[in-house]
Amino acid sequence: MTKETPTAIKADQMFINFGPQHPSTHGVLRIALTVEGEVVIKGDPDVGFLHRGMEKLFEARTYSQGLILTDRLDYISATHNNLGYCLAVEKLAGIQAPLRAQYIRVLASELNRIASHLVFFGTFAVDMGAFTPFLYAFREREMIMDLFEMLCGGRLLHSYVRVGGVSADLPAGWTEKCREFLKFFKPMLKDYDTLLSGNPIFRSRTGGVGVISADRAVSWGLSGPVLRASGVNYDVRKADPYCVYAKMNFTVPLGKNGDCFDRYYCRMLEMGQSVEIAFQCLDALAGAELTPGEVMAKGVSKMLKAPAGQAYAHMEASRGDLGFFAVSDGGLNPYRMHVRGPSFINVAILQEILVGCKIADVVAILGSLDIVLGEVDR
Amino acid sequence: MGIVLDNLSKIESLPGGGLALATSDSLINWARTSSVWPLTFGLACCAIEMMAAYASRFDFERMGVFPRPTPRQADVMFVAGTVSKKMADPIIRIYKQMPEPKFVIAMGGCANCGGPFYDSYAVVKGVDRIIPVDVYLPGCPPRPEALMYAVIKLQEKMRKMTVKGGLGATPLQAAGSRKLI
Amino acid sequence: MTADEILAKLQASFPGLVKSEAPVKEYPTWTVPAESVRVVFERLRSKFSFDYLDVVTATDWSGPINPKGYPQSPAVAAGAAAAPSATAKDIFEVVYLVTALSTGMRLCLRCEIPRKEGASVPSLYGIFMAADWQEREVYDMFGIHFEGHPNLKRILTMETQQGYPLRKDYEHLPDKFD
Repeated sequence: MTKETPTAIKADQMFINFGPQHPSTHGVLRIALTVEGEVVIKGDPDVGFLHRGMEKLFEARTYSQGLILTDRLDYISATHNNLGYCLAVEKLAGIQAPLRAQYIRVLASELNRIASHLVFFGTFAVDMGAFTPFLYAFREREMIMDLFEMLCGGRLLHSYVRVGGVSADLPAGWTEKCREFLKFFKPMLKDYDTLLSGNPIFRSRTGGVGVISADRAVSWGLSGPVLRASGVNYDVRKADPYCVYAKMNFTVPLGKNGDCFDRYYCRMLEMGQSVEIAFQCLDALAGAELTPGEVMAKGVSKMLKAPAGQAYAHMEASRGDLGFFAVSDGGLNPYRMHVRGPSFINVAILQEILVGCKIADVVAILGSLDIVLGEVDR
Repeated sequence: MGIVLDNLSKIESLPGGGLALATSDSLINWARTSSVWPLTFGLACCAIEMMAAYASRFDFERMGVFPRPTPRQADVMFVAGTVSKKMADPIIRIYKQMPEPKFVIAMGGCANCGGPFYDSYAVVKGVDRIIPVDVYLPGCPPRPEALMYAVIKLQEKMRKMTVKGGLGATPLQAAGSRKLI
Repeated sequence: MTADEILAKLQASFPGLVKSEAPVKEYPTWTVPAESVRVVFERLRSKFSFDYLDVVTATDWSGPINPKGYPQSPAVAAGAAAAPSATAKDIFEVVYLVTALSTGMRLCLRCEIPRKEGASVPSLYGIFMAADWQEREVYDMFGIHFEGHPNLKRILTMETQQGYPLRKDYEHLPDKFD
């Protein structure tokens, strides 16, 4: 832990060490706060408490071994990380996944997006002092976990998306279960609204707090719901479509004020859109033109050798624009693999928006950014 | 009273209750095993499965496992996730802040031995290199049921403790491993 | 306006700016000399509305990985770390990816700098705030200095970290936790 003592601290100011063990830092983030009474003068986020040296490890793994490391980046939405990695490796090696696999990828990543936003919904409410939404969110999340368990055997970390496709086709009876869940889940979103969104305490703790203007958001390179809550219409699914997102019919929810409430509400609306996309995928998968069982590109070996070159692929993960920059020298291992973790870039803005806010709002702002430390520290 | 003790013998019925005899060991261990309060402390992926264990479907609280946000009130620390070298010192500090008797469950492959990061320059290969561990729970990540099983195993260990053994530490704990830090 | 037209306009002021021979796939890729990195990005942002900095990262081109960079022998695939690859050069390559949100145009800019202690490029801090932490990360991992960055210190690793882990010749020194 950094032993830095604040040097320029005045008599009426106080230094508060927030984290790394604090229930509302969502992991192991530390913020060094300088406060004057209730007002934050300076907030300095300190990251790296979960630094696992992943980019170094990628260089010592083959392409298929590296996949399991990506699960552990943003562990709440593991499928997104798998997909981002596979898109980069496929681009590098010139592999095209079969169409059926692409639909399954989109379906799995939208389900994972719902699961991830549900964790946000639950934990954000806990941060704001409401415990009940946590129980509702995790009840629905467990249903998605069950669906994933049927798909690939894993609850949290899936490794379902593989280089060249997905590991297996949908098991028998899965689509019915998935439809059943989606039909159950859609009206639940209204319940969440009645439970939390209209709550006056919640509104006053999040409305107008931690405002990020659109141009600041762009300059800081924010992405995902954090960027869209400031009214910037940038979603990789629309701006640079991958897999079959170009064929999907959905809208990108935008916020107006860029405050904590908008960031929260953007995610709630996104869940509704994810349900729509999932239904479209299920319809397409039931169609006759996609051959069942054809979910893996032909000739993709486990000891994949990508030709020398560089490729960058990005995709819209739950937390924003997740990118993988892959460099190959023609060998069995990636020569270099860089991860653009959206949480890492989103959390940097804390040093700007924490200044001048009340100390109780720090938790609200941090919660609304919805960071995952595995991805921040890598 | 709805208490079930292993070696409790009721010796006399009195109006409004009864007189019972039990050893202090079994009474204390009964209290200890049925209120295993962990620290709300997640490191990485396993923390999400730990959260799931507290939540609706698994409902850890029915086992008396109720998360406490401060180490001063906690009995057990779930080391849920990868222990990085930067985090090692804070973990030791948190562990020292916990009151005796304290227990540690190393949850997941990373906390056991480094897991998928066994060859990383930034990861401590197992939390037992810095603090003593009572229960090792394999898995990457372990399911919430597995965490429950780990707590049951810990309760089994707790039942074997005696008041004579210092602060409730088992002879092995009293003898050594705690001095390592 | 296509990427080539922008390049032609910029080349009038910066003759060192050229198209890369081995581009990043599907990205217009240019090589920019270190001294004009900051001015080129200033121009790209103000004149051509490239307002979103995606990525700042770097590659060490000095050859295959050194197994001593790992505390335990890594799971390197057989023969992977044997011969120095044909691509080995004694340079760091700093890579920038930038997007114009209004048009959706994407660019990749590369800057090759000699591989030595104290290698440096100008910082983009102030033009893009996104550069703040990403440049700190590159500094932490490669030891590349970003001139003009106000807070250039280690971000992910400990202050006691010896060496720069993502350099290919990094050797891990056992510490008290190993």
